Amino acid sequence: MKMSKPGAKILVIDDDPDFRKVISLTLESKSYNIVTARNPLEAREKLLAEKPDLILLDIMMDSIFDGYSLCHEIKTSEKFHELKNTPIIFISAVKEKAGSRLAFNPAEQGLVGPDDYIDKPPQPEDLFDRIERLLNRIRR
Amino acid sequence: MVAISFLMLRKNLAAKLIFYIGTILVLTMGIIAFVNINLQKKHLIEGIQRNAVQLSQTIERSIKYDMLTTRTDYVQRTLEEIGKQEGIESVRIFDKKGSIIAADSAADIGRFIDRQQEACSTCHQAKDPLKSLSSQDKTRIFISEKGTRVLGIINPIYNEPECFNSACHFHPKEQKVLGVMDILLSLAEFDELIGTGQRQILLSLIFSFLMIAVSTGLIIMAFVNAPIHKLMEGTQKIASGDLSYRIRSRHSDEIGRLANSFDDMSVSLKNSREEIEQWNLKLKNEVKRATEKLTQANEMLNIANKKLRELDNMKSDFMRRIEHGSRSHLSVVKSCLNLILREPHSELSDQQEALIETAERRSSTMLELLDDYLLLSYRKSAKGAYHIEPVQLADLMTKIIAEIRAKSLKKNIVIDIHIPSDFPQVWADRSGLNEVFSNLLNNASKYTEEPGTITISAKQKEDYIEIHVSDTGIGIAPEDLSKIFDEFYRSPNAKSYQIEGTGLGLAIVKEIVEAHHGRIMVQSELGKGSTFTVVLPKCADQTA
Repeated sequence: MKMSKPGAKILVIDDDPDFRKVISLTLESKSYNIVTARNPLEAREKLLAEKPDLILLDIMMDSIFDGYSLCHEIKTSEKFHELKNTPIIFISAVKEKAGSRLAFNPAEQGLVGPDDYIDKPPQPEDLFDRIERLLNRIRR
Repeated sequence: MVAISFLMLRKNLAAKLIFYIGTILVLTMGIIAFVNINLQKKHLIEGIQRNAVQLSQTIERSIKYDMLTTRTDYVQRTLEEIGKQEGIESVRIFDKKGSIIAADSAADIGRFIDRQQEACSTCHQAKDPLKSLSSQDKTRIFISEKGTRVLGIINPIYNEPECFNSACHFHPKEQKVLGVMDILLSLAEFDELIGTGQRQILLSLIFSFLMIAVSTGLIIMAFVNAPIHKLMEGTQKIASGDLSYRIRSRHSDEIGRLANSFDDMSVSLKNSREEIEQWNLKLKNEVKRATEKLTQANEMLNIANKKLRELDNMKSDFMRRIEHGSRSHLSVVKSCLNLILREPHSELSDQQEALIETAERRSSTMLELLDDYLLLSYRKSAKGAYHIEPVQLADLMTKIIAEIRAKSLKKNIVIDIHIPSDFPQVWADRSGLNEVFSNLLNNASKYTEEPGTITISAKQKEDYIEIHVSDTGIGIAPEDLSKIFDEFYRSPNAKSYQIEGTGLGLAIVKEIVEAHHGRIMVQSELGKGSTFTVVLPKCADQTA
């Protein structure tokens, strides 16, 4: 797929530094700009400072709930009003694919969920596809 | 009224006895009295009759001389005198023609009496009158003209030699009967006698009946009623629970003996009860002890249960953490290796490249293993409940194949689907069925070298459905056929081809198929290919 927005900024939130490193390298090979954060706290600062075009969020940091509530916050709160249309992809180490009965259902908890899910570790091609699809969607 | 007394009769023995004895008594006495009275009457009447005959003969003799000497006025006077006798109603002499020639009442002389009259019927009933009469026939009892009960005696006056040889030559020799003397005796006295007799008998009857009835009643009360009441009282006392009560009868007749045996029975009942109570106590204690033991055992079981649950939770927890940790680390490993291989790596030798490829492959397999193990545990657990619904088999297969094609690098494998368009829907859990055939088809693809063919076919039988997945792959050795469904088992043959696998795929298939009450079977030939057959039962209303 042709890159819609060369140099799009992606925020990667993950507590594993090695993973952050390798994902960043993988994504940079496709000319994306990568910013990272270690945890939701840092993420909030970086969000306002960097205003990324897309967010990659590992939801196995500490507790699943942290990831979901951050997602909900970004999409609904006043604070992140500017970022409310920013697509969020959850990277999960547990099969969180929609339809899987092991999944945590955000709607049941009254939370707004992410735009997409991807397994950890993500297949690079699969990841690029999904990122492009979501970035294209915004353009419209 | 009758109903009440009848009811009383049923419930009261004394009343019953008295009633029936009384009735028999009355009947018996009544019959005796009746027979007696009648016999008496008969005898008396016979006596009277004899007397009457004697009287008439006497009267006849007394007037005979006067008749012979035709001194009719003397005869008349004699008769008049006789007629004054108390008890004699009338004395009359009739001649052959039936007219009165002499009587106690002078006024009757010359009166003509018809032969047809009742009084004359004894002899004159038949056309030819009787010539002689027995004693009984001579007399008959009837109501006279005056309305009183009378005994009438007819004494025919026979023609004797003295008569037809007498001086007057009045009656010819051939005439047998000269006339008739008719005497009427009043039965008033007799009747009175009889009446008195009857009354006396009746009174004595009533008196004796009362005597017998009352005394019988009293005797029955004393010997039957009272003891029975005592017996009843005793039985009621004992029935209500007082086992120490004794009747202690003074009599030694049947009722007395009954009372005594009843007393004996109460003694043994009392003893039995005491015995039972003792046993009861013993049992209670035993039960108490047993219950205590059970409670203890129960507590121990509860503790053991709790420990087991804790252990299970610990295990699940452990598994989860290991899984999570493993995945995190493996993710990094795989991504790093992947990145190296994606980027230009000309400085690596072929061998180094191969090693990195191997490492990347193995970390992928490891991640798959974690996924598969998670799935298998889920399916085995109670949370893996199946939601049965109708599934269109052809659609399912098509989707799975599309996924495989997308992921697989092997393009030269033909996949044929032979499912008739009218094939019925399969009643199964959709995601479960998906996993089963994903696994089977992925295996088929993995273990078949290019060029090759995978065939999917489905057959419908009476009670079940058969789905076959065949490939032209490496096949399975006979000794491995039973082991391939075991967890983590990978056949040496598969490993020899360096084909990656977790060893859990077929275990998952087996678990899901058997949870649907179906069967998984395999046929294979090394080097030629394998056919896996899934048999699923039809839904109840599908069975033909």
